[in-house]
Amino acid sequence: MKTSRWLYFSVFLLYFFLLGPFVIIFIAAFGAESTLAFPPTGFSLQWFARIVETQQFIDSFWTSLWIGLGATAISLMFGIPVAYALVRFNFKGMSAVETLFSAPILVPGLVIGFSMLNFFVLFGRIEVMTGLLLGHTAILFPYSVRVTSVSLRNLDPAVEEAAVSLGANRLRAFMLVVLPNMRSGIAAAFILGFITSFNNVPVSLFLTGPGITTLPISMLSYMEYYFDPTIAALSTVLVIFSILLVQLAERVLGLSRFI
Amino acid sequence: MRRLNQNRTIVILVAPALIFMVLFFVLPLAFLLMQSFQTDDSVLTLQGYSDFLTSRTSRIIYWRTLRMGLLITGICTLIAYPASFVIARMPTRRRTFLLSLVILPLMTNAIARTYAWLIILGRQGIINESLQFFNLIDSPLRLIFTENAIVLGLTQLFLPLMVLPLVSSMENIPEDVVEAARSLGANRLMVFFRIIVPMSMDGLVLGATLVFTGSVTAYVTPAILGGTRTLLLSTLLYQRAVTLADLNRGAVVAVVMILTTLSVNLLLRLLRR
Amino acid sequence: MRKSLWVVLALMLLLPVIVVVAQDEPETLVVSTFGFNLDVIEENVTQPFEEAFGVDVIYDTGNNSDRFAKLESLGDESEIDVVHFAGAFTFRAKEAGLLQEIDPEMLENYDDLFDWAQDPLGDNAGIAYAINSYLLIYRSDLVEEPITSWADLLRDDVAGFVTIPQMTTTFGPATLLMLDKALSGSDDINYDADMAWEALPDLADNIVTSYIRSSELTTLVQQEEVWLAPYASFAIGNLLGTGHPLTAVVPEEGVVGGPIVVSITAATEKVELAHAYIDWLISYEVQMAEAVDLIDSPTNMVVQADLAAAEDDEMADACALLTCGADLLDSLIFIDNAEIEDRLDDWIERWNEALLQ
Repeated sequence: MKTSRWLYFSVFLLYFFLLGPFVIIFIAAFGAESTLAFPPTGFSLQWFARIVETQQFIDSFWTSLWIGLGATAISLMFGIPVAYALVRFNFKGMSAVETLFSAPILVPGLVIGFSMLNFFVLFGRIEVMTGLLLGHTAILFPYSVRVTSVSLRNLDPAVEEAAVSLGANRLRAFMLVVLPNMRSGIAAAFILGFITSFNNVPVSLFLTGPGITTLPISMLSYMEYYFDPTIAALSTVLVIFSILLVQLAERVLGLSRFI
Repeated sequence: MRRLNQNRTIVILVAPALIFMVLFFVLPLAFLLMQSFQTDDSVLTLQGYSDFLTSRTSRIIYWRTLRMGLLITGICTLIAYPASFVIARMPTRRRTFLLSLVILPLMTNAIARTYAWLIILGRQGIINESLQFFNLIDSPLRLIFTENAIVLGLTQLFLPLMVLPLVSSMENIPEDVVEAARSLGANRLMVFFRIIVPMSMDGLVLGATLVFTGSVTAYVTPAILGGTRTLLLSTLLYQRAVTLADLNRGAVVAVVMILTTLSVNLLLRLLRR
Repeated sequence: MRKSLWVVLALMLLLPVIVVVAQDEPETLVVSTFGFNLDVIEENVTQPFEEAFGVDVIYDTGNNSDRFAKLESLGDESEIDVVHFAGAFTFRAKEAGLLQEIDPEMLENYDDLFDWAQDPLGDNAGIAYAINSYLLIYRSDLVEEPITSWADLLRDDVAGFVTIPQMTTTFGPATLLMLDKALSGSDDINYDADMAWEALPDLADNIVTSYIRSSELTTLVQQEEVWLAPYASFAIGNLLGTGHPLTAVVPEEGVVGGPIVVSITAATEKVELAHAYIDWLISYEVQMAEAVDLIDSPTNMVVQADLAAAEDDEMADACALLTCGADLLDSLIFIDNAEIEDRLDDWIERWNEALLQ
């Protein structure tokens, strides 16, 4: 069937809408004035320098990085066994387990954050970092369970059985045969999980505390205080970072299959 | 023996994660639910809910949230549906490239994406500057702090969630089915409504679920682009929970939000069957 | 390819484990404060204090109500030692038993404070280390007829370009009370504010959005979304920094005074360090530095006297912009927090409903 012109127009519209704002952020980031007038009249790199000079951004970047890596790692360590159980076995309550682990996607992030804040208070003082780590780990389970089970499903159980029949025990077979074959799924889950955590606002909004804040939250508070292009510059850096990550992931893994 | 062994394995595999989720996800939510039935002076009451239902403020906010969720889902469908159709039929390399561009916004945080709209819609933003340049308006229009600003921001935010499932369901429509239909004399419209639409229904429903749920629960965009006069459920929840420190009434809003997203999800899941 | 991917994955999994946690750190003082102008405060107050006492000051920032909520919900479990609030919130914190009494004997600079700053809320619950005034500011290039009264918030020529603080904030109730005073022409404040409530729908029509933090007001002015707004005087430096032509007005009905109060939390055990910090805040050097940088208006009488006496220098410039000088200080109207407290819940509800679009 021949694709007509207006269909192509819709593609143009889609990408115009999706990517246009990014182009504008890029341009604004290099503006010379301290306001967001568009188009900017001069060229300057000062806003990029400002990112590095703002201690709050540096600190919160590291917080976000550690929380992202930590929460993703923990949720994978807990999640991969669940994925394995779901794919390889049939058991009572299986669908309940499956639903539970995808529930964090259905429950609004804001509600999750709010409920955790209220709940943690019951136990008295919980370190901010611990709270953040627990909160972020919980919201990453959908990725660590579902995405890894996709790659498990593609793996023929016969391969594993063969290893077992050749004398390996179950655990060895899992480590030597199954895990390596899941690597693209694990890597995809890791990247998705990390990015989800790194960009999370609603959960962090409630769980950040004295002296500890995540990068998105510190961006939000910066915006309240200043109306200069620093956020545009920082966003530019983050977008470039995402482009590299996405390109890498897409080349290596075909990330779009997992979303 | 074998059966017993298997049960033990399953327990070992699932239990740690299950305990984690119960402790740090299920219990907090259960506690929240409990809180929503409490007030300062009463342990078990429906007061919070009846206040929510009878207050004009929360009724306005609730309907606005739903209305905007539907509107955004509609706009996303209108843009994404034809575009996904084209993308799904492109050669693999081009399709992969275009899809990676779709993913890009998903990988960037909501603040960065919303921030762009401040530059576009501001008093000295692109739209106002161009309108003034062409003498279409005398003085800049107010474009942010409106419902439309939120709709624009959220549409951009959630378009990818509509495109991805649509493309993947449309990819699965075999070209020969379309060819066959054509050769049997079906015209384009017929092919579209009898083949393409039914066969991509799954993707459409999934996409709509994701977009609607996202729009109803998004916080950053309504907070930045909506201001305090255009509250949505999410911004109302934040206001009650944090600004007013009213945990019980905040819990009511939270529960209403969960119920809304869950019922829409269930409804759409039924549709998918 | 395969190997390197594994190495990367393994590294990613291991990294969080490698984080070193345990470290010997100096004593810390956790201060809950506004987060406005923190970089300047860091230079004027924090760093010198940290050096003098060999401690680390950690700030937990946010607006009054966010931080009050946190303090209240965490209670004894909060890590906060010292808290900065605007008067109304210190009053609430005191009522909720979240604060401990300050011992004036432990403050060397106590006697340099104005009377009204020494114990603004009773029971030594807090010390006013700064005084704010609440007045109007407008774009003199865009508003033709000068703004002179709180009632001008209702004027048609500013429709859509007004912002006011939310009812939940320190000066939220003051907006209503001063509007009422302007409309009724009365000399005294009527805490029921009937006339203002009646005019509220008209006011709502003029308002683009309401603000919580002064920083938001600054951004709104910067974005040119706002031409006229009531503001708390401590924000003047940032407002003028937007580069737009702005005129500050002392409205004919008067100016509301808002003490900014520092208190010690009931939960802290670092009582001495907390007193030392408060004493630091009200010392001549700090109060002067903060005044000259337009951060806070001093409550230290000696500093106020020096500022008022100064001519043609940065001190004189500061005095012109801050809550400074005998005339202004004497004419401040202080609002009775107890009167507000009884009405506030109801007001917030009515206010929110009126403002909702």
